[in-house]
Order: sequence, then structure tokens, then C-alpha cells
Amino acid sequence: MIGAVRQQVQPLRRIAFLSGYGGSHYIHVVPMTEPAFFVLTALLRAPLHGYGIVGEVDGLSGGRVRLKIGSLYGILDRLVAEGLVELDREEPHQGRLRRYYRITDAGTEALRAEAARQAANARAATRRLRAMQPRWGATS
Amino acid sequence: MSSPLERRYRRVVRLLPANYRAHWEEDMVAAFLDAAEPSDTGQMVSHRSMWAERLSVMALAVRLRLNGSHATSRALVWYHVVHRIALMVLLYQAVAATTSIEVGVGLVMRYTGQDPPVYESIYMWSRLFDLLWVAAFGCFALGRFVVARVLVLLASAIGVAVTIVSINGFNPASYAIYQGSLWAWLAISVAAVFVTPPDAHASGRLWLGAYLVGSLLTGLVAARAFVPLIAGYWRRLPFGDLTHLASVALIIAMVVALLKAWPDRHRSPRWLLALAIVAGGIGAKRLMMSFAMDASALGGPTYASVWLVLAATLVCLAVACAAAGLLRLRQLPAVDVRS
Repeated sequence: MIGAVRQQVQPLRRIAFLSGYGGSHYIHVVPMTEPAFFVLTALLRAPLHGYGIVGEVDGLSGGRVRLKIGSLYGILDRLVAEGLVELDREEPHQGRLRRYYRITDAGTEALRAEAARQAANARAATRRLRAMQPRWGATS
Repeated sequence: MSSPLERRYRRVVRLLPANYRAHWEEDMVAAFLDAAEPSDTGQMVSHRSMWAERLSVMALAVRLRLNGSHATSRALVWYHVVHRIALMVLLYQAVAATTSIEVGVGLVMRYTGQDPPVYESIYMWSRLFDLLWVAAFGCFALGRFVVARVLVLLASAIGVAVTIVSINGFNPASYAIYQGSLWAWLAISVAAVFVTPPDAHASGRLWLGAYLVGSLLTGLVAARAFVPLIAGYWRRLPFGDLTHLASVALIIAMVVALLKAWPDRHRSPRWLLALAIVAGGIGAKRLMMSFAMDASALGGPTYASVWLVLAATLVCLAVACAAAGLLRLRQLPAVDVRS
């Protein structure tokens, strides 16, 4: 059990360290933000350019997360610096160069850990909610 | 030929740091224009809210400038200077807060078994809010920057409220704020804790040690008020004051920084510049006060002489630190951190 938790936390610790949150004395485990989570998820299927990521995140989140360009490039800058995303290729498009980004192995590993953490949270909440249902029935 | 839409977006993007723009600007503009389509008049029109896009770029610009993640080598030094100033200001606030708590405890002990006057009763209990400054300093020194920012905002808001109340009637002025050049000190501490260099990390041992030593010394000074054998009630002695002790600590720190910087040409000027700014500001203000005020107002001729000597020493050493620090800064290459 403890081993499984450690396995989940390890990539997060790595992110925390890479992102500069972890000093030489203290390492804070920082959960991934929802937009960053969706950006990494969007890149799982194929490399995408900036506006492609915006559209994919919009679709994946059912329209809940609508990334602005400024926010997207803040996230991409961090993910690239942390080694979770990298440049895939550049392609000319309407007289401009479009940059495509892809998720790295470290990014996939971090996303897997974050998905497992969120799934564990959801399972715990669902168990509690199911346990409460008979009581609701009794009082109504 | 760029479209008016592109020119408008590029104007907003100019708010971002130059290093960041060099890497991301073309990509950002391309992504923004991907959302645009030609209208009936042939002009490019974006389907996205221009205001929302502007705000997102502005928010990004503020965040990048506060965390310095795309700063040049020279600019990065200033981020560290501000970080050290925040640590020094919070250390002062924490020691001052601890002293005021000690005074509060002393008052509680004095009035054991009897009702204290209303003013002193308010003073005793308002000291508990000063614990916020101690917690803010502890979090900042231990690298918990976000928690420290919240605590500093909370402590400042309460400090301002207490000060406003004190102006309107009773006088339970927060010691932690009043002893530190009032609002300027407060504004500096609030602003400085929001600047965090990208490679800032916890430096707890040194700073917590300084806090313990400072609190012990000021505790002894505060005890004079309650232990008649040490000195009389509120009787003043040279150095028997938190601001004097802080001045002595700054002088020692500047001498050490200058001695360390002298043989090591590659040493970063962060400490020299941070100490020069803090000590220069405090020294200049105290020097002006010593010229403007009568010796009796400063507690007598001995006290006034100590005040003057300390202020002059602070200013002289601050000038030396600033000169040495700026020379070192000029030696640094003005190249991009990420290049």
C-alpha cells in the first residue's frame, strides 16, 4: 500500500523539484492545475500547435476549460521548462511558422500519476456518497 | 503586412518580458490569429474576446515579472536583492512582534489579581495578532512563500485597522508596525514578499537563528520595564531599543558582507545591495531625525550621541556596500538566463 502511494507521489515530487518549488531543504508536492492537466491530456494523442491545444482542451473538458492564449503560453512555458512537454516540429502555415508540441515520457508519467491521484479521490468520495444514500432514503 | 488585429495583439504582448517574447511571441500571435477569420470587409476578426485575451496576457506579464523566470542575469540579481529585503523586513517585524508579546505578557503578570486599565487591557490582547508576523516570517524563511504572503496581508490589514483605531481614540498601536517607520515599512514588506526569484529556496537555519538571538536580546530590553532590579520603569539606555539593536545588527552584517566580497571577485552582489538599500534608508532617516530633533527629545545627550554615531555608520557602510555591489553587478554579463 505504502509502496503504491510512493510510486504515485514520486513523479509529483519530480515536478515539484523541477518547477523550482522544491528547495534543497524542503520539497513541496504541488498538485497539477486543471488547465495543465488538460493540456497534457490533449497532447497524448498527437502533437498539436497552440490553437489546436486550445480546441482540444475545450472539447476534452466539455467546454468547462476555455484557455486564453496568454494562459496557454504560461502553462506551456512551465511545462517545457519542467521537461513535461517539448517542441515536436515547425510547419509553415499561411506565411507563418506553426510550432507543434508533444508530451515527453516524463510528462506522460506525471499525467498518469495525477490521473491516479484524482481517480483515488473520486473513488473515496463515491464510496462515502454511496454509504450515505440509505440514510437519505430513511429521512425523506 | 500585418493586420490591425495582429498589431493590436502585439501591442499587448509587449507587456511580457523581452526574454519571454523572444521565445514565445510569434507562437502566441500565430495561435491568436488562428482564431480569427476574414470578415465581409476583408478585415481579420477574432471570435475570441479581445479583452479576455488582453487580461490573460497582462496576468501572465505580472506573474513572469514577479517570479523572474525569464529575467536576465543582472535583473535576476535584483530579484534576489528584493527577496533578501523581504527577509530582513519580516525578521524585524517578527522580532518586534515577539517583543510586543513579551511586553503584553509582562502587563498580564503585573495585573494578576486586579483589573488593568482599559488601555492596557486592549494592549495586552491586541498583542496576540502580532503572532501573525512571527508566523509570516517563519513561513517565508522556510520557503512557504504562498502561506507567508497570505499571513503578511492579514497581519498588515489588522495592523492598519489597529492603527486607525489608535488615531481615533485609545492608543493600542501595534508595536510591530510602529517601530518600523510606519507605512513605508508595511508597504515594503507587503510588496517584497510577492517577489520570488525562480531559484529561491528555504534558508531557515540562518534566519530562524537570527530571530531567536534578536528576540532574546529584545526580550532582555523589554524586561527592564517589569524588573526594577535590571533598570527602572521605561528607563532608556544606549542600545536599549529595538531599532538600535537592529542598526548594530545591520552594521555587523555589512562589515561581514564587505569582508567576504573583498577577496572573492565572483561573489554575487545580492547581499551587498540588499544591505545597502535597507541600511541606507534607515540610516538616512535616523540621521535626518538626529539633526532635526533636540537631544532631550532623543533621551538625553548620551542617547543622542549613540543615535548619531549609529546613523552615520549605517550611511557610510551602506554607501560602501552600494558601491561594491554596483561594481560587481556591472561585471556580470547582460545575457539571457536561458540562452
